[in-house]
Amino acid sequence: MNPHSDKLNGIEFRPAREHERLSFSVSEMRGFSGHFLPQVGELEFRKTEDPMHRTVCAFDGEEIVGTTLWEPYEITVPGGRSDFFGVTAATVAPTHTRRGILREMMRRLLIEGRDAGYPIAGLWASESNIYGRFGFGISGETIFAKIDARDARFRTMPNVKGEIRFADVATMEKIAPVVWNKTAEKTIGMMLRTKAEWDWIYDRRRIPSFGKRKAFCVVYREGSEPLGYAAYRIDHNMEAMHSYNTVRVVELIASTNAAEAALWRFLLDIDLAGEVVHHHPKKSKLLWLLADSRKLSFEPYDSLWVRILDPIKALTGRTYSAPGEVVINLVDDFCPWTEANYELRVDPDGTASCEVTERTPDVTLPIASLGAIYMGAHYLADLQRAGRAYEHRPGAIAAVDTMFPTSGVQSFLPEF
Amino acid sequence: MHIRQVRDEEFLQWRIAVRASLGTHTTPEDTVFMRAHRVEIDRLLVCMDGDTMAGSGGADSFDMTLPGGAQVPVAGVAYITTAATHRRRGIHRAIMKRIHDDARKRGDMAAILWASQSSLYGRYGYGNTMPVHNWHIDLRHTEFESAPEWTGHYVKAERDEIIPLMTEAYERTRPNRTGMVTRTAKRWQYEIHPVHTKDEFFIAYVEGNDALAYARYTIDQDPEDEFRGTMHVVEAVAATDAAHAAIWRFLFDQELVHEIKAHARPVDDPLVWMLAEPRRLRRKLTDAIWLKFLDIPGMLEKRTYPVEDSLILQVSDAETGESQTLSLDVGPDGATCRQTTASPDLTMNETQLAEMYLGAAECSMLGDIGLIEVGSKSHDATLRADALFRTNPAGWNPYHF
Repeated sequence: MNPHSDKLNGIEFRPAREHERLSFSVSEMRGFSGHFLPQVGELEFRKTEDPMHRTVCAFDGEEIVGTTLWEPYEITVPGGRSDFFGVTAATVAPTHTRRGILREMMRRLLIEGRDAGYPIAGLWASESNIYGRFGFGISGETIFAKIDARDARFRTMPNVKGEIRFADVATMEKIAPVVWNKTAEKTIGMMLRTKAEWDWIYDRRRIPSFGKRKAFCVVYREGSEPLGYAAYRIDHNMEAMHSYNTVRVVELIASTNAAEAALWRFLLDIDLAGEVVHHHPKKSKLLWLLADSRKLSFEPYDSLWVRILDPIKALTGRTYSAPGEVVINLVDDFCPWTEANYELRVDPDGTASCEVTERTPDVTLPIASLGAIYMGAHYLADLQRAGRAYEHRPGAIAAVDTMFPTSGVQSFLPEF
Repeated sequence: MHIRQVRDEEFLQWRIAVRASLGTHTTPEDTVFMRAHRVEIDRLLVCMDGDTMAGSGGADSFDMTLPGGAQVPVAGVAYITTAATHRRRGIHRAIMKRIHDDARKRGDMAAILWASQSSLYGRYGYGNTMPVHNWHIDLRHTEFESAPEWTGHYVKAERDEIIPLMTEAYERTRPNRTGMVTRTAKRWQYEIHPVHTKDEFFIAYVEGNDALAYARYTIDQDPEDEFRGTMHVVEAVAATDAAHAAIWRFLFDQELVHEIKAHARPVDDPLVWMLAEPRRLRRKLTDAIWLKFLDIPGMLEKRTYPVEDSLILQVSDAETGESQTLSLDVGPDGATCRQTTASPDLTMNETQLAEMYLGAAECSMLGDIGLIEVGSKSHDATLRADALFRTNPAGWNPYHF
């Protein structure tokens, strides 16, 4: 392939244009095995402005046969916030698979991310066997949690001074962003939601929907201050007059421990409920609140995948749990511009400096492994045991594992 | 009612009572074998109501590996039952107390157990110390994307030939894995008893002359479709990463099996990082080994820590509420733990200390939900404790005793 051509095997790669929005949507939805619904599809684009500029698509003639889109986000990383190149809407038409289309779109997309100055890219994957080859690593896991609500007692209860009340859409529109932002600030893995996203979530035509079906919304307040909210739906299930309803928690966001415990207590105590289900943080307070932990079925899955675009920016863009020094040899077949030896020095206050060095490396990491430990949720030693990290100086990986992992709240719930 | 040691001549009767309380039967042959190969009769207790056995309990002696490789004597608590006719009379509590008192006298530093219910043992100071994952994987999705290379070979053998290989691999693994316990030669004979394991297959992985891994498994055939068997992995233990990869490749490559269920896997098993489709390895968390300290300062001194720091911990007894204040100092030469009168950085129940001791729960998490109190001058103490008690590899005990 001629590197200056935009064609690969007769497929042209370029952003979709404004007048191609409809084709983009039809193609994207079909890629996820769905039909395009104009009333919903139009809304998707209200999340952010001018989305077509941020697409990389594959065209076979006039027809869109591959879609990708990136969105500008901010995410909480250890010690602060980072710009986050959010990859989404990645599809290839079933008529055009196995031709390298996704690979080429991803290559171009990641170059765009680097050129726009992003330290990291990330995504939530539809399947777990797709993005490793493009240098993404599993950086955060989420739990599919199912709680047997019958007799799900707590062994302790924080001092709850507030009250829970149902909230209408207008109230939620005001309150939810406040609670969200307060919580996101201190929760690794949470994204900031823009006004446009909140509008999208609360759009009048879907409201109060949090998705496709009407949800109940409750707010926890202490005095007049909102400190938490939950949105949930209920699936009714009754047989021979015995109710066993499923409470599906769409979102539970709490900025204090008391608010979180109070909202869980509320959800578990809903009458006629047999079980409560939730996509739940792996660092689960609920697990340790329950008097009987077997009430909670707790199944982790890969959720946030991170891809390092600019190692120096990324490594200095977070703080660390312990001081130290390590020379990392990064290997990156897919985005060779990241390949180098990086010297990372962490000061006693946890801040870091990083530069390219000629020094002998202590560890060699495929780029996906750096993505995997970036959010502080995984140990490099575990990746080493799977052949995804190599140590050249004994003890180097143990040292990395005192620096990168972080304690405190983390949440990697799918966000886009 | 009174609690006393079980007598040799009543062992069969005792065993029948224990199994009946757990809803199963036993046979005289099995009991004879158990008496000879498993139990220490002077560690078995019975609660007598006249001539009736109203409750039971006991312990097996193990050494358990701690982070850094120290091995400490522990009481492996088991055989705990109360007859359905004698509930709500404090028998369980009295037996547990007697087990703990006896174990302290013997010098055991902790008591460990597998709980029949997860709400039973917190009250006695046991914490959910080494949770595990139960696995389920569809065998269409077992390709490795990354794995250490292995150069050894597999040995498939029957019971008598395989026991030495399994023992060797187990013993190579045990000193490096926090939470694993000793398994004596007699215990191996008992575990791989033809009655218990009549449906089991055994495989060992050997490099040169060294046995490095083994697995025990059974296969259930689907009566309606002989091509859709379910494999149950009873135990898979590997001393090296390569041996771990080799043994799982073997298990995944079985014919006529379409799914594997594996019980009590480590929460940090590297397999999830090896698979090309990690999400296909469905993992469910559950409690496994519960641990109660019998000697808190000793247990804190015997493990190693990933960082150096000092913390003052006030720890209260789950039953009596009596507390001790301990100064834990972790330096380059190891840890010391002494009684102190200084004011504590962290105040907690022994149950919480057991939960955080091997990193299963983060101290900051337990603090957040109100189970650990932070001293007024120690605002960062929970985060420091998180860093101090971090444990890798995670605690894991595959032995369901």
